[in-house]
Amino acid sequence: MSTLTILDHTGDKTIEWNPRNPDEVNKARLAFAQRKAKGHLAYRLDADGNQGAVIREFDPTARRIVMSPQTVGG
Amino acid sequence: MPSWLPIHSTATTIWSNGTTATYPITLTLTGGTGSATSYYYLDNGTWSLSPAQGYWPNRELRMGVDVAASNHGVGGFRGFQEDAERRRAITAAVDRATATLLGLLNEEQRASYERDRTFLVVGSHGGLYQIGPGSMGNVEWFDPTHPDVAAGRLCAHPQRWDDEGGGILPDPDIALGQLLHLVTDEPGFLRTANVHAGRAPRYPVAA
Repeated sequence: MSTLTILDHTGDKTIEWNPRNPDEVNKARLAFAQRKAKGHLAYRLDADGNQGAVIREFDPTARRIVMSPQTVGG
Repeated sequence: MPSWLPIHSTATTIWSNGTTATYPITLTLTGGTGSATSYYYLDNGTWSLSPAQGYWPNRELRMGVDVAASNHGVGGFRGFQEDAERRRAITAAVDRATATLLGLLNEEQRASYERDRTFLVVGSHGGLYQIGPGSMGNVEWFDPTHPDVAAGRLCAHPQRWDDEGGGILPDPDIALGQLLHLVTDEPGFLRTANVHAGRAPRYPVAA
C-alpha cells in the first residue's frame, strides 16, 4: 500500500491506496489535487522516508507522499 | 452592546505544543454580539477576538461569556466544556504529529528530538541547519567555518492556520514541513525565510 500524509490541525490525515486499484488511486489523486489547489507543497519520499523530492503532480507509483501547507516567511 | 466578563478566576493559556499554563484574570472585556463563548488573544498588549473561535499560537488565551448568559450559569459551563474538549483535541493532534515526525527522522535526529526537541538537518545543497521547537525563528544555520555557533536564526515555516479545519498545525508538523523543504529545496526555503537574528546564509545557494 502507498500512503498520502496530509499535515493539518489534527496532526495529519492519512490516505492509503493500492496502485493497482483505480478507485483508491483516484481517491488519493483527488485529495492531492484539493490540497495542491490550496498551495500545499508535496514531497515524494523514498522507502527509508528521510530523503525526498518535490512533486507537483500526483504520482500513483510513489510509496509515500507527504503534503505540507506552503512555507511562509515569518 | 453586551458586556463580556471572564468566566473563571483564572484563565488558561494553550500553547501550540499542547501544554497549558494558568494565569489570574484581571481583565474585563467589552464587545461581542451574542451569548456564545468567545476567545481572545493578547497581541502586543491589545486583546482581540480570536478568528473562528480558534486558539492563537503562542498567545495568551482567555474566555469570556455574555453577562446575561453568565448570570444563568449556562455560558460559563459551556465555555468550560469547550476549553477541556479543545485541550484534548490539541493534545491528540500533537501526539499524532509527533509520531509522524519521529517516523521520518533518522536515528540520530530522533534521539536529538527526544532529548531537547531539536535536530540537525543537511539541506539539499549542503547547508547545515538546526530545527528547534515552535515556528517563529526556530531554524538556525551554521557557517562551516565556525560550526560551533549558529550564524543566524531564520524564520520560514508551513502556514500555521489550517483554513480547512479551523485550527493550527502542531509544532511537530511545523518541524516536519521545514525538514522536508530543506532537504528537497534548500534554495526555495532560503528565498522564503526572513532573518530574525545573525546573518543570512551566503552559502551554498545564494544565487
